[in-house]
Amino acid sequence: MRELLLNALYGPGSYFQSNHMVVLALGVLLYIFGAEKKTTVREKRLLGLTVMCLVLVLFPVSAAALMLYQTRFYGYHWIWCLAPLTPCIAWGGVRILWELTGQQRRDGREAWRLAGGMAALLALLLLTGNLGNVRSVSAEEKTRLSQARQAAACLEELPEAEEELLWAPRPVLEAVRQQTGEIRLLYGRNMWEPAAAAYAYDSYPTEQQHLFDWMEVVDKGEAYEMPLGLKVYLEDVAAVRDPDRPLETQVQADAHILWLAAEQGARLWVFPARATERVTLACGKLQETYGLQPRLLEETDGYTVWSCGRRGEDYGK
Amino acid sequence: MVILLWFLLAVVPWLVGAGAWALLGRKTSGVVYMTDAWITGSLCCIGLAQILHLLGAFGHFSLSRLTLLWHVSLAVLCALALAVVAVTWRGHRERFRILPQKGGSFLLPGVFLLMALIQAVYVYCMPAVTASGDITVETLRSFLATDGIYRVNPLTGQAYVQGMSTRYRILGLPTLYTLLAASFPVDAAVLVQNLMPVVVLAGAYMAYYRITRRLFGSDLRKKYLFLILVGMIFWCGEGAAWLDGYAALHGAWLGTSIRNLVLLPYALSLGLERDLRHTWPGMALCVLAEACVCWTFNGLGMCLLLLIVMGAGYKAAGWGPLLRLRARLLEGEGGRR
Repeated sequence: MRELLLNALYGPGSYFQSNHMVVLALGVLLYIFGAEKKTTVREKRLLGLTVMCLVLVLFPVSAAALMLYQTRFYGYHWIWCLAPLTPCIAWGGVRILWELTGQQRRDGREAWRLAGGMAALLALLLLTGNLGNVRSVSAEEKTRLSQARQAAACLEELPEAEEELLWAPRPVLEAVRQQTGEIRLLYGRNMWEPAAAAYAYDSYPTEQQHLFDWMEVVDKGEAYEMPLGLKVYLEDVAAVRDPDRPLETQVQADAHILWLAAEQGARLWVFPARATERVTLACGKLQETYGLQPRLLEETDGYTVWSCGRRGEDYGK
Repeated sequence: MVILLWFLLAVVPWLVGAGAWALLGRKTSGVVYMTDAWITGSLCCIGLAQILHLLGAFGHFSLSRLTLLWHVSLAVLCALALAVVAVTWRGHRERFRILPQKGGSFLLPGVFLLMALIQAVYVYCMPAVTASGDITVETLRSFLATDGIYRVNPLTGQAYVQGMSTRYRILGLPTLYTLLAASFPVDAAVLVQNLMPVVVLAGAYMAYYRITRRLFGSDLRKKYLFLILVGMIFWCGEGAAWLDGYAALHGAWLGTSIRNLVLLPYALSLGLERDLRHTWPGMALCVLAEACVCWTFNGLGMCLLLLIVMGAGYKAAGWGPLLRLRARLLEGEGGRR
């Protein structure tokens, strides 16, 4: 409850930052009530409702109650949906434009005056609105998405993809399930985005969490620090530690992780192309230590696709 | 086939809604407006999809069977509605209003139509923005791939181990989209992220048009100016997921967007009616439709809350102590003057 109240207390500031148009709604209310303008019954109802809803969403106690009502899966900002801001601003805009541009005066210039008023209102809306550039993505991100889609399209063509679980970096997993329902994944988007599964009961075993963490490390490169859980796991459970020979230690750790993926049922792997050397070394070790036979299936722009069979298995042919 | 889909998306809801309104308003001989009919018909279609969804999710009906049921029930509904509309049309042609009343210049309607058209083209042609937590496309693909409702986890394609959230399981919106995708050879992602947003945008303008009818009566210039301003607000306020602009232009297929753009304005317009006794079926439909498209698991939804707040406001307006307080305040103001 304390958390809800704190959210309700500090929420309005954050909401105003995302939507300054609230000021326009308040301006409309001030204009109508302050100048004691005549309104019809329905207009009074709309204004009354707007005032009531604004009080409800701004007053911390009622805002907390509303947040409790809408469930904790929505944040404070969502309770503002209750307030009819768009109809109030649009109605107020019509009313004010009509009066200030003298639309009752039929002198042949009323259309020009209205156009001028609308231009001014548009400027106000642009100033107070939130043009967020939602669709803009960086060139790097665009390339990444396109590469992930290419990898997904390549996977669709592979006969192994229908039989085996897929283990891949995040963008590829996202793209695969958006492009086809036929390929099964070791873990899905809810691994890193709990909201995607509506905070469901289904959770992933620790081994799969480690696999996800390892793939993140490989995908993001040196800039990404290995999570502590994975580090401890590799040192303790996989008994991988040899500070004098770091490369061999890494190869051993990587091979263990690949073995773990195969053990979890994921025998179709996608890795970033820049990690091919690392993966090749790990695959050699995997074959030597665990008796599995990984092989490179395809290379796409930005990714490599691997499959993993047991020793002596003529896999994927 | 896409043209047929567009045609059916326009005509079927209108026909079903017109039949419902003609039947409900037969005693009062009320006018059946195109906007009211289309929105009501759409809500009925959402309800029908919800029933089929529950049959699929809890009764384990296959998708192909549900699709067949969907076609049959829609055909029956349309036939019944057509009969009602035809009978009413023969007796009282004046009860149906397809287009807005004549009169006024073409300038404001033209500006509005141009703006709405640009928005529709923008929504239809632009690549989708992936909203956080949205798995509609994945869900559709998994329904189509497994020929069933939630037979596998849409995010992985594997069976659920511990169980899925009831919040997801009861929502019928993905099934509605799946039934449309299964009925027409349209890619699921295009249907959800490009085609349906245009339909929702059209629904939003119809709901707002209904508000203008209540606020401005027959003044066409004010009505279209209102709609133009609504369109401008959509364009200018699109930077955050909870804003109407974002809902209209970037994520109109989401349940929350349908609620914010269509259901809430429609419920508001119903609440602005003089006599609320005739509008309760529409209000009930809004509340039920919201339960079919949004997570309202612990709450009962925003539409109900809006109607409660409106009802409380109307009651309070006629409450004795408040009236006395208002009278005193007004007297005080008069005295100062």
